[in-house]
Amino acid sequence: MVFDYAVIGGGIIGTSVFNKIIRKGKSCVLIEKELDLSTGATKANSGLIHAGFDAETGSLKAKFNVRGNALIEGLVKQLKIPFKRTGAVVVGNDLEMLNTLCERGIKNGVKDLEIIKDDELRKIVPNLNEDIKYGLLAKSAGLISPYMFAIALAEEGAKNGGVVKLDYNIQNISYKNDVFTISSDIEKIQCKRVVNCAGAGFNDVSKLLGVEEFPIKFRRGEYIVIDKSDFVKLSVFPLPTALGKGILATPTIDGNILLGPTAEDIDKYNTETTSLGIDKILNYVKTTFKNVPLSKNIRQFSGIRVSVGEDFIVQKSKKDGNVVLIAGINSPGLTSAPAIAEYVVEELFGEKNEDISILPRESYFQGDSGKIVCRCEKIGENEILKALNSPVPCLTVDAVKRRVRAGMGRCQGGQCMIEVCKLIAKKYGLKLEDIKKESKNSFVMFKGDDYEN
Amino acid sequence: MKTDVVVIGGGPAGMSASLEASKQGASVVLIDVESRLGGILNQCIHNGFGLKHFKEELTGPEFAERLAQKVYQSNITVMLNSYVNYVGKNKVFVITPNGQEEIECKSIVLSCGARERTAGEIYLKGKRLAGVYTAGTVQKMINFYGKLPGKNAVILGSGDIGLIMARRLTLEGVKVKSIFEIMGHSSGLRRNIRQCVEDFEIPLLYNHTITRVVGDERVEGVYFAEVDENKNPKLETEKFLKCDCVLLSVGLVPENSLLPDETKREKFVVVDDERQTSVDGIFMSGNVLHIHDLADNATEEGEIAGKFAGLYAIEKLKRYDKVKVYFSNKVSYCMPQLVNKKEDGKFTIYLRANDNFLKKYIKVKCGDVDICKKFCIGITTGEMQEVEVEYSKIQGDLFVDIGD
Repeated sequence: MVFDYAVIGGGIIGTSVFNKIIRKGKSCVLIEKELDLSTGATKANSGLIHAGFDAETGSLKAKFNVRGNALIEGLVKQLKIPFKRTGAVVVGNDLEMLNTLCERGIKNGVKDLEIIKDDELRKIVPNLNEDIKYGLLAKSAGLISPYMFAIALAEEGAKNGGVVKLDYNIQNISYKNDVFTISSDIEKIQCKRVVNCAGAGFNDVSKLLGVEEFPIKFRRGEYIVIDKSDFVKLSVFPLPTALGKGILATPTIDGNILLGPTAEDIDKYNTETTSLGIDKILNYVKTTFKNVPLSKNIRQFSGIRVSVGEDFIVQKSKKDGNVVLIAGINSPGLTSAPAIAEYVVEELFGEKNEDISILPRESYFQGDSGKIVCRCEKIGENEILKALNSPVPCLTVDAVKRRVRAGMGRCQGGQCMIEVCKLIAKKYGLKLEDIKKESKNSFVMFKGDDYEN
Repeated sequence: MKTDVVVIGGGPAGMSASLEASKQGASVVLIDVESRLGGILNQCIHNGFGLKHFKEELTGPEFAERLAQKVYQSNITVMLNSYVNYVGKNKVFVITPNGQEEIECKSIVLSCGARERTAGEIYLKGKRLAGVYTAGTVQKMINFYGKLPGKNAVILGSGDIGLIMARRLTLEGVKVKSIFEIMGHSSGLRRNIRQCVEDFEIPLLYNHTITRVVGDERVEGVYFAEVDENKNPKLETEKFLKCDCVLLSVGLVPENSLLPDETKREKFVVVDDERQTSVDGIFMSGNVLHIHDLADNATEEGEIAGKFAGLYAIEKLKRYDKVKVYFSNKVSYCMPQLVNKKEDGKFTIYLRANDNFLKKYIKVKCGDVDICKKFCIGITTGEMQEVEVEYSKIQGDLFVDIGD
């Protein structure tokens, strides 16, 4: 068949666009080169739905952020994933700068902004150091699981006729008689229109399409994950700098605490954590907070933000009107995703009809959990099986982890990783040594006999 | 469901606690999340267990089997594949494969063991690659499933599980390229250093740590360096070592998240000589209380906790005034931290030293009087020491010290 659309890149932007196209009643295929969706920037960010006061007024970032924030509530209800409007606060002593931010927010269309101080500030951030006096409170900010958001969007799309192709390594794209042919080593996909939202791989895809490439820069952000705690109950930002929104302390939708990110320009896509980065976070939080529960530190990770200049790029290719280019999506990309998808599908592609009614996605967490597999996060075998049997293939240990949180707790999979491998192996008729952690060659374990000398 | 005593965890401590509680005449429900009793003993297929408790050398599964058989011969109700979700006042909430169950009880013994410290907890730098595992996970991988984590291993930390796994990997044909220990000494048993490392000529580098784990999708190597007196790596000593897996043996953490928040804690949860916590009716034993060197010791502790939890449940537990146990800076901790002033009999104080000592005495003082003095040829930080005290000699708070 010839699909109406192909979306290349299975991060939050790709899954949002894919979902929106399906809601317009069009056929669509979502193409991802890795073994799971949301394995790039989407899996490694702060998980925040921003209010929208940060971005320059008039920028795409400002426009999509505020619109995205408004769209999120309806979407998460339909997708059956958790979302909480906890609010966010920017803290500091530069009242003038906070006022500027506040005014910018109002100009951007952000509601519920207010400057707070003293008792009011202490009340919402009890662990803030005494010498920090003011805060800009944005009540419309919230928390979401970024990877679960992307996966749920894709699952709903797949349940309603969309096709998700994982592990699809594009070798060639050709165009003939108004039809694109996107070929891998073993397969061909045909479609009429293409969206390139391949994130860090954007230019590789553009090259194959013969359309615009952009100078993409990488900026690494390291994070520390703390086990469940009520250290902060909303996202606490420092005053922003040229490098970004700064190191924040935020709860996650699942109750953990995230400290980070750092901001370091790097030449190559590299998700290493470093002593320099981690020390920077530790030093910062100690100067801003008291009672930091660092003894409950369970993990560190780093995410790569791509950028092409200051603003997002969301446009039709000037070389080919059937191709839409989405690039340089860094913060607030997660919040903006629903708005970007709406803009791309309705404005750029002109699919202006009302959304059709579609079948709802099923949650993994219905009914009995069964035998508990992940003890730290209390995840049962039944829940893992539901994730394994959902409309988007769930092939790896990390894919299970993103969907149900098995392995996300304080023992970091020490107790359940092999159990999860067993369940994946059983589902797909594989052996334990075939199971991968995340990417194609990330085998968890090997067969014993391979090592007979 | 109703019972006198609920024991949470079916490892050596939990099984022995159940047996002792049952012996007192209490009805007992023993709950474990796994599908068989034994806990971590089941994956410890090496020998060296039981010398103290059974007076013969057994493997882990044999040790577990002996206790499990006794459990099944008694009136103890065993609930397997069951996970305790929450402990309330005289109530335990359990998730079973068939749904949720609430068990009413009079006392509770927590014997749910410990978990291993992870790469995240020690801020291990680098990518989060396949091939970095805790030593216990690899033990399970090899001993339960016959799979290997790689063929060239590096071990970080020289705790007992790490030492045991160095030998286990070697026997399975994996080259153990090096063990790195950030401290100047191992926290493992001396016999394990000899039998698992020295006998196999595995390099064990003290005052060294891994600075970075590198690789593309799986581990391809580590950078390691010597550390200074503050345990910070000296970067000028950093070197690369090729390997395809990293095992972590960097300590165990008691898995005591089920305890009510109000339970009094110091370095470990505070218990008395009967292993009762500050919350009436909640007892603890095994690694959930403090980390033991030997399953035999955890078993003995289970017997103590089980006995008094049983007596408590059938309202036969006598109450006494309690004294506190303090200790000097040569000791890193003592257990128990509180002692009932009973008229007669003996109890044991367990302690760990802060440093290694040669030919010293462990002394228990009450006021200015040494009420107990035990000569030790060698005391190491890795080995738990014990000293027996007579209740009748207790006049007031106790002070534990190491000296001449």
